[in-house]
Amino acid sequence: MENFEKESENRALDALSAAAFRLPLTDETTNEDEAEKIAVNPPELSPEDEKAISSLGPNFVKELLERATHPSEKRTESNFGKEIKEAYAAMNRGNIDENLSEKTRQEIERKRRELLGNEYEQGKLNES
Amino acid sequence: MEASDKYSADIDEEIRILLLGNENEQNQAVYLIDKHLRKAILYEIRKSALSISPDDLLDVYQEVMLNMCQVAREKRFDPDKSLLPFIFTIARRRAYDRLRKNTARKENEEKLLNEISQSLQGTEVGEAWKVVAQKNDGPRMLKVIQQAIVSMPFRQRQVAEIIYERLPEKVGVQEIRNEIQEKTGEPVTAASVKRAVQEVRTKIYQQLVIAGYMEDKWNGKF
Repeated sequence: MENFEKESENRALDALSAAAFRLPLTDETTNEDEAEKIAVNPPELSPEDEKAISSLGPNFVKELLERATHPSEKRTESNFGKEIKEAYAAMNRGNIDENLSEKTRQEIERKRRELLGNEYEQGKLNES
Repeated sequence: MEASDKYSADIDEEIRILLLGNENEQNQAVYLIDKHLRKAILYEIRKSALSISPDDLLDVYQEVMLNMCQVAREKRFDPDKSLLPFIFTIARRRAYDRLRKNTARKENEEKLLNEISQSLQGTEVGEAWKVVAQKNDGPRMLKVIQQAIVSMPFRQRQVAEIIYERLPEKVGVQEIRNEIQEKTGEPVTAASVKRAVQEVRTKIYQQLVIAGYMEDKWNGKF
């Protein structure tokens, strides 16, 4: 590959890869079918992560439950209660961006459709 | 994973019932979540926070499990709602807490979309994407990329995350190196960063070729 061509291809691949992580395509793990696929057949992690996981040991949950019973740091009920409500709300609303104006939101939606195809809609792409 | 550890509808129902029970039953639910969903929860955390270390990954996992204990103790689990999306949402939030970058992601989304549009034009990657998008298969192609990166070694994931989070800004090897050193406090050579950048791109490209989304025009090397 010539240098200029290589630089363009690098840029394109980086942009597409960034989309994989930064764009809310479908919030697959608030979609029950997608979440189930991951639960039944979880994808592989890196060797380093697998090695760390293997260090958790057989008493992991026992020790965790002891910490839960005697917490050293209390999360206030109001904070975590709010997070639980937000978790349920997130499951219902998909990926609506909260802090954007309507005009900006519509513009972003239009661009998402251009990039991801005509049938893209928030939370609905994997339904067929 | 052993066959007995595989997640199923029966296990899902058992966990949901136990979460609503007394303290001993709640504890059993936590054991079952760890036994049957550990790897899936860890994957969700890792996908949401590419650059955290393996130790941080385990810390976040413990936080998620403690949150599930708290949900049970405080009788906050809604039996009418699905269990998996609920747990995975908590996992993602704990991961973002560890990263503290979620706000920055949303604000730059429009710039990212513009960058994607412009950079794909006139490239082989762009042509491959066009074909895939026309078949409405774009998100699956992006999932291949996600899984390729999640399974990469730590340094490569760190580099990948810096490049992706900063787009459309172009980030050079020295800047990536400085950011890694600042975050980790560990010395990193420019050569190792450059190598990691190359490896990230090559691996993604190889996975896209294997999955049939791109032709191998460069003998497996990007």
